[in-house]
Amino acid sequence: MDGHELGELDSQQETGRDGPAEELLKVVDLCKHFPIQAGFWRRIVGYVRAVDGVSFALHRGETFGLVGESGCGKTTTGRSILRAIEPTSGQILFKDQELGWVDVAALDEGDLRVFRRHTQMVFQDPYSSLNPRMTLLELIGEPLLNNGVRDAAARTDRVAELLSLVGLRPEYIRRYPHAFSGGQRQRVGIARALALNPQFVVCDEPVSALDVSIQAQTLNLLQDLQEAFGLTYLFVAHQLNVVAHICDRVGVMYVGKLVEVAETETLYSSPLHPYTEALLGAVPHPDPDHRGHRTLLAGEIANPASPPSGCYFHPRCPYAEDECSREEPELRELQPGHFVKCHLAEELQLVGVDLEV
Amino acid sequence: MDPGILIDIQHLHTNFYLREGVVKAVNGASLTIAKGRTLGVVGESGCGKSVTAQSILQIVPRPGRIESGDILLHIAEGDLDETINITDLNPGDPLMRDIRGSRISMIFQEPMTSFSPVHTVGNQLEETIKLHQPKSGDEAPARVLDMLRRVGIANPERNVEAYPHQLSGGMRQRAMIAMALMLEPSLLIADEPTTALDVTTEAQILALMRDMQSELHMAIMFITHDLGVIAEMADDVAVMYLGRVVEKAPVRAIFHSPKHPYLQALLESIPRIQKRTGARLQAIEGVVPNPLDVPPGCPFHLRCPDFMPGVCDEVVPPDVTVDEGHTVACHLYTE
Repeated sequence: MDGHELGELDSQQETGRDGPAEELLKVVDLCKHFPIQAGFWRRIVGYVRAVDGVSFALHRGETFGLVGESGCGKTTTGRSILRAIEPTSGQILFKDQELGWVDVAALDEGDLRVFRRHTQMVFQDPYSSLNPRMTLLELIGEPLLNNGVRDAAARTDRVAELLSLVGLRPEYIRRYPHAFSGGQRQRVGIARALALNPQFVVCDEPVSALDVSIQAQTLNLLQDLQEAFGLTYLFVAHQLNVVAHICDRVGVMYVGKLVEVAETETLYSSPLHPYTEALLGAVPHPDPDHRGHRTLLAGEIANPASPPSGCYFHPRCPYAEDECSREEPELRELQPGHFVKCHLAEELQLVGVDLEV
Repeated sequence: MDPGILIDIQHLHTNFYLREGVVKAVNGASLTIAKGRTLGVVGESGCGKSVTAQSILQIVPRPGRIESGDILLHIAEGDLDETINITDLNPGDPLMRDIRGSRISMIFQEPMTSFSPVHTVGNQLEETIKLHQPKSGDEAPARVLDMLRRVGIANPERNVEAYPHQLSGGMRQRAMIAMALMLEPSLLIADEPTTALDVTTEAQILALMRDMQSELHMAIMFITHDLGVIAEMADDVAVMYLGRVVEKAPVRAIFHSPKHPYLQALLESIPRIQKRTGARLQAIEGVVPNPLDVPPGCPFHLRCPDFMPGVCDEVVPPDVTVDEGHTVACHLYTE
């Protein structure tokens, strides 16, 4: 899909929304191939196609979810967009308020520093993502210092403000991370991400490592902050119930490729890709009367270093036909705003989740 | 003791003696595991669910120690009918070694906890048999292959020669289950066995555990923080908070008529797949208290919406039976 087509598709999507949603980010044909090296000379013998031609667009103020099994490339996609990992190819177009569309993938070091003020990341593991030797003041103040807030008093004020914003007591400013629980550390991580007033935040499994009761607090906080500051989130997660709760639109990835994109309710209630159906069918429901309704998907996720022919999902797909093993399907817009990468999408009657329950 | 009961834990206290003080990881927990049934133990991190399991096997890591209480294991085989109090045994006692593996075995979140990285899967499974049944040496390889096949490992003849790291995550989990079930134990303790897995693999592993349970008629103690998995797997449920069991009931009662304010709040706080309203989740306010400084009275009173001053913060609530097989430790239900 090229950038031109993408633009057209988005104008159609907007008609279905409450108001005209301005685009903030467009990812076009993003690829990240990690080399596999072998032998004494570290010769390159192949590539792991972690992200392989992913395209999507984010609207200002929305939460876009990326889901899929581990190894599907969702985290690599999030990191490549911020250039925390250098993408192999593709465009990452970010709408700067003064400069208009900027291709982040083509920025040099200096410009990248400036761009990074607008984008931030919240990490999965609140234990390893905070330096244990730094106080909250140093941790949250670091991005401020690096971006020219030299005055210590101003920095302290801003950090105290950020702490109370994320629901931590400003008195904790001189404490170290070890004094805090996982949920509190995640709040520190969020405060650090918000220090420079970013427009776009990649949340990489932000609640996966947290206890259930803390998950709810953290999700609520992310939603409150989004409303207060008009943030746009790319929400990478594998927990489908969390994604259903927080995301406006969802993209499903399988072995480095997007296989389905739709508005959240549409995706969950009427999926068009067999893989989405299988994922939804595997979610355990917190209701014992629902027991035994889980569908079992046979086999394991394909190896991204030597993916199968045709549609990558065909060896596990219960509906696969000859065509599926020969030819790779395109990501097509079957209904307005609902994209699917499957040859049989028109014919299949797939089962989603009953949202009324 | 009721003949249907396999394990009866009464007032178990397991403490960790740290430099900073004493952590009462299990603080007077009582629960029973019925033969052939699945007990789900649910709670947040630090609630003592894993330490309870470690206490059953006498593998509490230092500086932890079982302080008091009884763990009664009921053994009934043919003419044999006896009750062993595990807390009377030393961790190194030959009887305890015999119980571990052959009567009670355990699987973990991370399969490499169970496996040695430098021996093949086949060798390690064979060793389990040889250690406990020295006379059965010759038939061990065949039994290993048979077990690998039963847990659904593809191509067992080849994978028996594989080292654990050569298997995929799901296959490693299956191999660990094979090792745990090698001696057909009467209790399998599963400590968050699917937490690190993807939903599709999780569904496969849970189905496998259910199949193996009906084949071997074993009881399962299923430890998890995931209420979805509890709903899927458990027959009975014990909910733990800060080292205590706050509610015990059959699984349907846990989900359809929860009594303890903690359990009610926990059920409210899970995001559900339903129509989007943009509403906030019902979060439980505050954090789990520092285990070195457990509040007096009910452990949940600091976060409880129904907190009654002068009662909840002073008296530890006793277990109250609200229905058949349904008990709750909360002052709202005491007379």
